Amino acid sequence: MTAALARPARIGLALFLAGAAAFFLLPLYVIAITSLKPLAEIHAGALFAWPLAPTLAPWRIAWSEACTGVACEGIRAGFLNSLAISVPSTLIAVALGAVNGYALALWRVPGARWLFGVLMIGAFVPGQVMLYPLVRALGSVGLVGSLPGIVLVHVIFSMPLMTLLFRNWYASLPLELFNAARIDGAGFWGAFLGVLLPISGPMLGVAAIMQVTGVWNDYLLGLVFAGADYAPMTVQLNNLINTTTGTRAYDVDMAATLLTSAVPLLVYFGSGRWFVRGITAGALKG
Amino acid sequence: MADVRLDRIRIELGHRPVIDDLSIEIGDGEFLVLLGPSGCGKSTLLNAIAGLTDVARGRVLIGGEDVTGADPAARNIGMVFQSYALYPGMTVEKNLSFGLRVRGLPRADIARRVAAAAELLQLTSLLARKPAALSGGQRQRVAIGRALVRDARVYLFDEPLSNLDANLRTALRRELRDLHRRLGATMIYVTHDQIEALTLATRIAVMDHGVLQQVGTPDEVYARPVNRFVAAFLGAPPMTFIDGTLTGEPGTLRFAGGGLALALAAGATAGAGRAVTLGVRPEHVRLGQGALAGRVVMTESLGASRVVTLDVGGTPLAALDHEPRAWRDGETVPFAIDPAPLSLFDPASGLRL
Repeated sequence: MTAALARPARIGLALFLAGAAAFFLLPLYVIAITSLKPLAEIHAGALFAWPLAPTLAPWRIAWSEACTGVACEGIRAGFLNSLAISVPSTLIAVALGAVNGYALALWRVPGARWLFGVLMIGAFVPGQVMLYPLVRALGSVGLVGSLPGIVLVHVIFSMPLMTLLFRNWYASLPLELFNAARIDGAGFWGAFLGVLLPISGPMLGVAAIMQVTGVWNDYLLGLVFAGADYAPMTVQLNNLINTTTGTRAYDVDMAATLLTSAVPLLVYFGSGRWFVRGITAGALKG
Repeated sequence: MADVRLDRIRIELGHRPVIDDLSIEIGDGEFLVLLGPSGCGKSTLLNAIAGLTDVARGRVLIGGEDVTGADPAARNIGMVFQSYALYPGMTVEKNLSFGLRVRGLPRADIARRVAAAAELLQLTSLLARKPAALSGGQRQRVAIGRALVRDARVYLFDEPLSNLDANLRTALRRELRDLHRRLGATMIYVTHDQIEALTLATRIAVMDHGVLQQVGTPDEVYARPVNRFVAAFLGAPPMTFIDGTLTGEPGTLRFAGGGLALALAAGATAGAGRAVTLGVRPEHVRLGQGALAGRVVMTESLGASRVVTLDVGGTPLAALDHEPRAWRDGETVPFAIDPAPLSLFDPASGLRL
């Protein structure tokens, strides 16, 4: 229940929220209108002005013609690479995280406390620290610069968080449900696949959303491990913006930026409600 | 069907023993009720039989077979949980058949058993529903059906009726009793509700602080409690305890204390002159006539009868009055105490004399 606020307080709150929203939306607004302006208008300098002659040409160029280094095929290739990286990285990470969390929460795993401690540390150690050892390790088995290599790296880096999420999810479910399945004769996989996974929808959704957006937004790991052939969209975007021949095409840069962030944005808009529901679902088991 | 034997078991929670050196035998076809206040270890004991809780020492035997370290799945037991624990995504039919499916029974066999269990528990019309679309009583019947659909050797019930309202509880209690009579199965039932224990059990095991206090038929446990704990835990309204001393000779012993003086039954054998605690059940106090007298402090109606609390020389004494009459507060009432069913306890140890 929300408590009713006094009128002046409510107006103040509304003003503050509107101000905060405007503050965060302003850059997006500038990016969006700049991507629709011809270069001449941008050079005229009216940063916040509405485009006089709106055009979609920068979007077309960003998607399929702009140069990202040597090749000039737009960031389309990067989009497909990001897709090829995100889908397996998400499916594998969520599946492994769910099994790990289930095992840690409900089964007596030898050394579970120790394992859990390591996971907690893993979740908070900055990824950069592990970058060099990981490059050496993957390099020695020839996985650097390949699709399996970058997917493997994403799965490894996501394991602490995925496992923690699912462990807490399964620890929050009524224990009697799991016990009932065991009495009914179900083993490790029977109880997981038959009873617990089917009621994990909200958590699977949350984990998938976090993983998709995390992997899609990643730049560093993609730059280091994906190599030129599988460079994700973020890396291509950087290349596109830094490949300057002649005048800087701000309109194309802006369009490419919006295209790159389109997937996470759509995921958030499409699943925001679900996201919140999943996070609170453990508290309201019914 | 099988008997269950717990042989000197010890159960620890975090290295602290909650049950130690406990032994009990439950006969084939028996309905044993584990009764005790919350936290007494009765559910822990049930979980140990089910294999959901580890036994640190001792043995658990089902049908003569040592299952102490066995997985719950390997024990072939059925269990009904307090929260029902129905599988939320499955229909009633799938809930009932889950245990049969994971055990890989032939499909025709599964269908036949599910139909039989549904028939027995009047669930046939609900088979296509999900648990969320069922009432509390229906959910509990599905939970019972899920346990019964397999021919388990033992059925375990963990406070299965405590989440239901009073009328439904009475109805399901009767159904359970009827079910036990028809199936002749071994059932172990945990509850803190003495009415459930007294009505359902062939034997009651009263527990407190992880220790079995008394194991016996409902009548034995009610009429001849072995100690003050059992005497106080069973009976509503509860037994009145009065401290006093014994006088006279064996055979003609008299009790005096708390403003009361009365002759005990001839069978009482405790030593004269010693201090005792007298236990009086309210139904053995007869109001209206007799050599004793007390002042009415309070009257509580139970509908068919009334609980009248008397002040007898400073000692409160509860009486159960079945006559349709009203006593005024403050009124002095003559009464008699039936000497035969009285209990005497040692004041120090609380044990029955």
